[in-house]
Amino acid sequence: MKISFNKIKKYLGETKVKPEELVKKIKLHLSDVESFEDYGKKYQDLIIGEIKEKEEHPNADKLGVYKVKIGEGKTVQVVAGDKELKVGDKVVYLPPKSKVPYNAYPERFDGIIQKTKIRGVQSDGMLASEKELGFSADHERVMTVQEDCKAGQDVATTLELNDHIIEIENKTLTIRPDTFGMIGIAREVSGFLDMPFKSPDWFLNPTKIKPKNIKKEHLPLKIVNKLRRLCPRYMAISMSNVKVQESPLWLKIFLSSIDIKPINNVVDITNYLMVITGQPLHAFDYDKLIAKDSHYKNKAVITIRTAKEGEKITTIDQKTRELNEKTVVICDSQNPIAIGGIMGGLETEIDENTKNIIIESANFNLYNIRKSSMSLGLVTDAVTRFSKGQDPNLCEPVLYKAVEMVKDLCNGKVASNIKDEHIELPKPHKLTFSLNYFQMHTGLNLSRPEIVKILSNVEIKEIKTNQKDLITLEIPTYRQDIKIPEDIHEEIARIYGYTKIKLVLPKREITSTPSNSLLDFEKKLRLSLKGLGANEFLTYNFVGEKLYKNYDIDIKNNYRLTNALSPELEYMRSTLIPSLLEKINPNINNYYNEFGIFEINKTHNKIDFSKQKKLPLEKKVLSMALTKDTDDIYYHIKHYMETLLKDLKSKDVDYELIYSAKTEKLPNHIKIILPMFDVSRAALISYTINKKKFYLGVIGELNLDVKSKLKLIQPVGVFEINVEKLKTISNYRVQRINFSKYPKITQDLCFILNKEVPYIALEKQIAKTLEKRDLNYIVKPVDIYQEKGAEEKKQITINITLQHKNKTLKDKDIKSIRDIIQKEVKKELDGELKN
Amino acid sequence: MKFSYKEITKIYEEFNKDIDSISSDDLKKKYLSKKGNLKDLLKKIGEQEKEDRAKFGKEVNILKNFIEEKVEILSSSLKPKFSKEQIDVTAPFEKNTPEDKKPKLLNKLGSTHPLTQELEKILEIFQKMGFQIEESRQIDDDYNMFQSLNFPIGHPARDNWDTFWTEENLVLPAHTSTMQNRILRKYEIPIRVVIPGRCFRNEATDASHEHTFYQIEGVYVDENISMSHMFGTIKAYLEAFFETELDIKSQPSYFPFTEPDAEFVISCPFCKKEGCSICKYTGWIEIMGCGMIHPHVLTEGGIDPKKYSGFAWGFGLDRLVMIKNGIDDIRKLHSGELEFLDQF
Repeated sequence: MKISFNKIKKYLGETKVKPEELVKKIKLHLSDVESFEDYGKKYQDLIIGEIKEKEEHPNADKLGVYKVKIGEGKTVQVVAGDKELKVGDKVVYLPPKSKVPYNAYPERFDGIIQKTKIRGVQSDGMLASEKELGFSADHERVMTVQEDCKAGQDVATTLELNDHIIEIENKTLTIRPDTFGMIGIAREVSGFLDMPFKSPDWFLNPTKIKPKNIKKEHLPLKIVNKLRRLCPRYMAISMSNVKVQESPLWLKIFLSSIDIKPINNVVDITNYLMVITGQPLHAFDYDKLIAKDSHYKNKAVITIRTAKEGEKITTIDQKTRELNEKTVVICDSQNPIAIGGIMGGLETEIDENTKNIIIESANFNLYNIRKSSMSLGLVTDAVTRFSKGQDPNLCEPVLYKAVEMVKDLCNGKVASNIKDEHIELPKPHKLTFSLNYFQMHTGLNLSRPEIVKILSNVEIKEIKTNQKDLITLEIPTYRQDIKIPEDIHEEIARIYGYTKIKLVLPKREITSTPSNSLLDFEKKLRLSLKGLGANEFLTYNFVGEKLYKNYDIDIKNNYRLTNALSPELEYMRSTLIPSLLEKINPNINNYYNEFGIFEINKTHNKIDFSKQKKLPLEKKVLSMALTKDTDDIYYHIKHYMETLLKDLKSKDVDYELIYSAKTEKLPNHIKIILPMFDVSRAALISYTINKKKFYLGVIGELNLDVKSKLKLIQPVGVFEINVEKLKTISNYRVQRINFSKYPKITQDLCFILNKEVPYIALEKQIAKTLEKRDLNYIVKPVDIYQEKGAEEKKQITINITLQHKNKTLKDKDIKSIRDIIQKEVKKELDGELKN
Repeated sequence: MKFSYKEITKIYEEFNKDIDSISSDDLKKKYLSKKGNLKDLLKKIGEQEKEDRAKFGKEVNILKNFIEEKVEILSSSLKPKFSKEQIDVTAPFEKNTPEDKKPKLLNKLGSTHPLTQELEKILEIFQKMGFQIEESRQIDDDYNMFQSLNFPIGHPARDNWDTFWTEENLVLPAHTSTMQNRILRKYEIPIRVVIPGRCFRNEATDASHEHTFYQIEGVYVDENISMSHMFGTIKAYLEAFFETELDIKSQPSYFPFTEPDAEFVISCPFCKKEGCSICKYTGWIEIMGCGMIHPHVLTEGGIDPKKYSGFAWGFGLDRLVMIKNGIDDIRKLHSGELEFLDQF
């Protein structure tokens, strides 16, 4: 919202406040300032010129050549694209080297005026059109200045252009309808300049300017309001004899300066009063309304009702809009002529032929305005104001002021009595608050008189009582936002200045704070994986149906957004893997050959739902993807998994080939991601506590179908595991403290086994055998070998390191251990020890 | 899979050989048709000794389900979806792998994400200041996101929070304040909790706007808590974070769930108010919104506003990380570019 510094200043008492200073104060006391413009700056070099002589251009039909007086004894020759100027006309002259305030052709003109020859005739400067000055869209004619002035005077002063425009951010003012008019802003400014504010007299006492009742209505008018809740007040009046034309220059300049396009005097008056007071107005063409009405021809009947489903209206922006049953429409006796509080209709628009008008000053329910505006996708200046909840009391002074201005600027005559349909109007309410509580709550030690002064400066008056600690106030009706004592605390603190609040740290008992163990664990995971050479990524929660199709994931289990930014960002993910894998190819293409990336984040699916909380469960998972130019990528990603587990001092986990695993009882999260894996080259990871099996996640390669759809440049191995479960098995392994002082013996053992026997079965079998004896031992894989032509068998070489806890192991001990291992492996796994 | 009966084991082994060599249609014919191998086995159930009959039948059924599932998988796509040969997933490396080709860790340093790095640092500061930590949700309901925070249904103030909605009318939190009501109910007074979390805002992405971002909420409730305490606490945290003394000022703001509300502004920690690109040559940086918790919000959280007062704040982590690291485009944080992330 843009405001004019000069206008604000007019409403204030005597003050020397500078624009820059005001901007700073607005930021500190009211709201953020989005932009600040020295509006007069671009008019600084412009001079009033007077046409002294006029000639035809010898080589161009449409150009005129003028001798222009630009000061005492100074005359220049200028060629202009307007032949209609007369001797004696005052114009705006742009001298050479000055800059055009609004450049209409930025692509072919740098905006700097040069001395030049136009079709062979010398031209020393330019005569400006309204468009070039930024006052209207008129580019056909050179603007003539009607104001009393002399050639050579500076334009900025003559036309009162030396203003500053401040753009205030709206967000902070969501519940401050009063600040959407410059009077309201001026009241605020007065407050923090510590000056008493007085609203304009017509604003406070509208009856003083109320049009007098007339005996005979020339333009009869009737209001039928069927919606007292959605339209609490509807005021209107008809006026005749209105001369619709361009607004006077001051009004055009004022509106242009705050980015409102001047249309004609009637519309400009409604817009002007809206930005001054915050009350949107609308004007209808009386005759068009009568002509349109199929029922009444001798009077205008305005009906306020909700739209019928599917009813349509063409609005003044020439768009036809379909309405719904909740939208308030302003109608003639039958059909819509405006969308209430949002936009007027094209059929009753004011144009240059309009003679008779109806001015509407109404109030609409903010919730309904917002809903209608959203369903229509239409936000207007009126919507912005009504959706803050305007005060119905405001309708009255603003309508009367509009009548006054239409009389003055459009020659209009009152042609009906004031019509006013309303429910009970808000009255100023009382609010009592405690001085002590205020001081405690804000930390400001303001005295009672100080507080009363701060508030009375912004027209919030004290009601005198005899209570010592309590202050009672009368809150004006336009301040519906002040409901409870805390609201008034803010008003006082804000106007007085937050910066004056002393900074103090709260006192607390010396206690240690429990930490969040899951977050601590995540930190540990991150640092561990970083140490292992992996990079942490953060990717979006949003995924698209197309992406998940590539992974054979059924998207129906994912939460779908109703207002997604794009189809690629339409669903909440149920796994992190696709999000991570999307990042693989781009990085390979950026010359990263081998890398591992991981993310720890939440996943959601519709199956894992807490019925009690009526919310989805949020499962935190750790996903990792590793890429390397190697065919055995499964073992590489597994190596990461194993090293991570080791670093976490985790309990051992089991790997189970998906192909031969039972998958019915898996956790939902794993079930959902399972289809993307290659059942022959991926495994379920599980652990067992008290004979109960828990699934941690999945590890391995993607199935051939998914791989080909993803067009991955090089092999990728992934895992995704449940973080909370991982936490339960970490820190599980106990450190050995007492080391044996006896020597260690190490030996390689090679076994021949059937190819189906998993490696781990052998390792566990050996460990089990050694466990029974009083030994420290380490079992390590050395080699797995399969001979060509003998694929039914495989040879596994294991290195064992043995150490007795209280003696030196001798050859015969080793031999007996070896024999036992041999026997057990034979018995349990049908394996042979190779000599 | 292991079976106790030779006949069953035989067919199981035969199937495992066939699955790699013959088409899914032929597998169906051979095992699952009326004249198929399994039919023969099913017939044999009746021929078993009484005590064996149930066990035998059970095993045949297990095999039948197994074969049906595998045939289904195979026939679901024309091209084979899965590798023919099954690897030993329990092994440490592929068979016949020479020593130098065995799996190794990457020969490079890894990295953690700048956002999580700073987050951890921030949480540590708050923990030292006596705050507990609770993580925010990523999908929530209207009550927690809006109603419990004094946003009536349909109120235009909701529009300042451009929220995403799911078909079920659940909401993706646009601020970590979505946890406030839970915090007020869960913790004992004095309440000192910090709530980090990922938030979402329905807005188009550009160099300074992201639909996905991180926020850190703080809630403090006790007897006689004032705005002085609020500003004092926030300043203490920020000075610890930036490791320098700061000038502060606070500007008005509006949140339905706090009253009074403020925007907290600090002197630029990088140029000491001289003016630099980070503070856009103003010398000041707007860092967070804060306010005294609205009495309605306290009441809704089961706390008597006549006895207790408190303050809350929320600030964006992403911007802080960008400021600290001189990152000029917020999209970099979620870009997944190793070239960028490897440096942290």
